Amino acid sequence: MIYLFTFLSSVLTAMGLGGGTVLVILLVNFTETSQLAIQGLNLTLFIPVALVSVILHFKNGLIHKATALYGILAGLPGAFLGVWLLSFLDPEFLRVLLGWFLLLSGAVALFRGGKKQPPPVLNGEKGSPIPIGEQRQKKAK
Amino acid sequence: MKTKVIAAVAGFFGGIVNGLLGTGGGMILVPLFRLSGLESKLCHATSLAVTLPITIFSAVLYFLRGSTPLDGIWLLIPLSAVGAALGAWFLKKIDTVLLNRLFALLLIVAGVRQVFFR
Repeated sequence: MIYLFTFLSSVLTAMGLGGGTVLVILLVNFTETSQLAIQGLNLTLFIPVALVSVILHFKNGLIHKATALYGILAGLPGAFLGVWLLSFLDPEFLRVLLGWFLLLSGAVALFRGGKKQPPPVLNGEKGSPIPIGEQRQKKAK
Repeated sequence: MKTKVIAAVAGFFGGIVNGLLGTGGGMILVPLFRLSGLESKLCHATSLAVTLPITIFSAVLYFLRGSTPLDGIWLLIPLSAVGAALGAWFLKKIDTVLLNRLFALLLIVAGVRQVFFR
């Protein structure tokens, strides 16, 4: 079942639908896998898909480097704190906490109406986040 | 300065969610990045760029504490790559607005079940 659910969730991830969350939902509700194992699996399987996406986004100039740097520098100790807290929390409590997180995510997604996201703007196209001067240099070449 | 502070706060709390719940943390990062004044089209990509190293770090910590099962994981990774390729193909053929709404409903139903019925 874990293999089937992993396959389904990766299909949904590629469609931009938060496949990792679907994997967690499927494993929590339809298997006897422990809560922490599900969370660990979800994190591990997220990495290869995210890596490819980040490389593409970086090439297309869609990543704001300063924001990303400060986010990562503060995020790493945050992640350490989150994992450290696991030692003190009951898995059932984590399950309920995750449930509230899913409820909130779903409510936000529904409220936003499932609007179609515009395709990412690529390097050099009109409206690209690359500064105008650099765009002109690219066109001149 | 304001942008950097908000980015750091977003990263910190996104990191906590990532480590504690084993999810990406994008739900926290994207709205806070928008609040910091970052252009909308950069928010999702930048959020992913922040989430990736944090997730790698969390995944390593989960392995070290023995929480992640190692059996079959090397089959799961190529399986998810095949699924991702299929998903990218489907994306061109399906009404994603309807799919997003169904996904949102799934989250709500799953959340209610986990909170109130377990």
